[in-house]
Amino acid sequence: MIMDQRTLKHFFKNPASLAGALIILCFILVGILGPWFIGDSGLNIRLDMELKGPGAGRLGFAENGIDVLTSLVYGARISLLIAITCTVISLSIGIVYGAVSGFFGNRIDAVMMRVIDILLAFPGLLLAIYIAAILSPKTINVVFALCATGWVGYARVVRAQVLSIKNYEYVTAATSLGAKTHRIIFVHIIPNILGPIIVQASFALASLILAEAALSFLGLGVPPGTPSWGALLDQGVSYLFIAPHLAIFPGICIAITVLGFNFLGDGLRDVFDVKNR
Amino acid sequence: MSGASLPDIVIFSLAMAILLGSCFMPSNRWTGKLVSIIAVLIGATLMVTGMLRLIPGDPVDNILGDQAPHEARLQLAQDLNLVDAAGNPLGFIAQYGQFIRQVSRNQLLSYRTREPVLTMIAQRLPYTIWLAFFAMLFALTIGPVLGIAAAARRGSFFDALLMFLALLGISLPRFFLGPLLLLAFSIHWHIFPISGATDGIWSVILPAASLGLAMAAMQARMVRASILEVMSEDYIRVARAKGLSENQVYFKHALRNALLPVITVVGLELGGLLAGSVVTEKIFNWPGIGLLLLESIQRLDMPIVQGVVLTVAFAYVFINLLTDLSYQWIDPRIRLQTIAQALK
Repeated sequence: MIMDQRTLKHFFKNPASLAGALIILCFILVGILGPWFIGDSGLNIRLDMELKGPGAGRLGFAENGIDVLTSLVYGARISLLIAITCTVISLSIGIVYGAVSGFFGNRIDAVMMRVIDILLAFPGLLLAIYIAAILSPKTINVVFALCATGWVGYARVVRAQVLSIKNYEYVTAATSLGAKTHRIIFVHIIPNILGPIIVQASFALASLILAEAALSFLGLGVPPGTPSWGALLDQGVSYLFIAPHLAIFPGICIAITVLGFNFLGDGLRDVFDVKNR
Repeated sequence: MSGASLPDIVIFSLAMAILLGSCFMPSNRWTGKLVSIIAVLIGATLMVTGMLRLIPGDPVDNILGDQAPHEARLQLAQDLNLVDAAGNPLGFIAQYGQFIRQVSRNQLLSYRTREPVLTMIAQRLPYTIWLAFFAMLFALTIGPVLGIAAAARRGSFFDALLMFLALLGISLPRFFLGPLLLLAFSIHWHIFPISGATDGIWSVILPAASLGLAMAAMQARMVRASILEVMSEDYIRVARAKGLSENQVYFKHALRNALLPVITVVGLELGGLLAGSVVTEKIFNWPGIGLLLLESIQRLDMPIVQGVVLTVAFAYVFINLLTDLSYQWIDPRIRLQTIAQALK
């Protein structure tokens, strides 16, 4: 994984990946600094403003007169928090699992891959929905439900890369110099496959944001009252007839952020020249 | 092992034997494939039952909350096979064996209504299949057509616009697209009914479109990429060199080869449709198994939840098997390879 100036220039010349990077930057800034700027006065109950549209100020008001813009800013923080925690956990599990499976091969690999096959038998959010259903509604449990399947993508990418790289000369050289297995994996192999991992992370973040929003939308995500984008959208859909702005603004936030991560992933894939997703 | 009877132990050992044995069978032969599929199905049942024990905390507490009355807790623990009829705790082997026996005799009962879960699922399943069928029809007509059109005008503004729309289609969450479609076509223009499945084919159009759009977008991208790749192959140059018209080159030579890899993802995406239909069914109040799943989660009716999750997983595994087989059947290269292997 070498990111020289040429590849960087290539990345920034592509308008889509540049747009993606900017969207993600905005998302992160809003998530970290937004709540501090906007304050929490908008989350107070103001019955006189209940369900008023964007004409009444900023982006309008929700149930109990809660300010939509303020909720969205706090929602960005929750999405960001869940996405980052899940990514760190999934990434750690996935790298270790994939590297061990790919490096040792044979029977260990066969058994470890069967576990992944089984996890992949549950399409999309199904397993996360099931786990969320048997857990109590807490934000930490959303993380648990999403990580339960989230690491699989990383593990597969890492395994495939390790398989292709473990017979390279420099790995053989390290082995013949007497390097220990964990040293070979983490010092010689992992740094060389960071490119595909980063690309995978970018796409995985897009699906994480979607998955968290979907879980919250289904009422299986963050606890009631937490302003997650998915939960806000869910609330908005129940007022679709009288106050469509409640559904539209959270939806736009989710769509733009996901689009940003997908743009970024596409751009990074070109930069690192990763063949397949 | 607490509470495990002989049949439980037999079922559990058999499951473990198939699961482990399948890992060490060559997977290229059809027997190996069959065994590995059975192993995955067994693994899925183990996952659904074992997850109750893997998650932190007491599952009954997690599901009902700790304020629930004793009778309700006992009932749920019995339904999940965590305790036996007398209330003594059961080990995992007993839990799994009981679960498999209940499912195979259709005696897995709903926590609320005491109806057999599989019967309830069978009543709702046709709605989900109907919805998924139309979503797929939508995706497989719109997607490839747009992909072919974009590839034919590659590099043009039209191509860029289509590909941007496709990426937007993938990024637009179903739970946002659905309400948008409702807002536009049902509330604003009154073209389609707002919810339910009572208006025949008329009521399936909006849910199917919102379910299938992401798949259509994915198909469009894949078809375009695949055609562009195929167009640089030697046999296309040969086809041009022997004087075929550009249309003949495009439709007879390029397209047939380009559409092959697209088939492989149809199976995967159909699984995505099944899972995604949970969201779509909620938005459009569509009475399929997705809505059944959500209703049951709300009513804390865990046996139904387990049943639906397993039904979808089984369906998904079989769909993938079918795509695998159809791929072999469509591509003569793979078909001949398989025959040669079988003859060996």
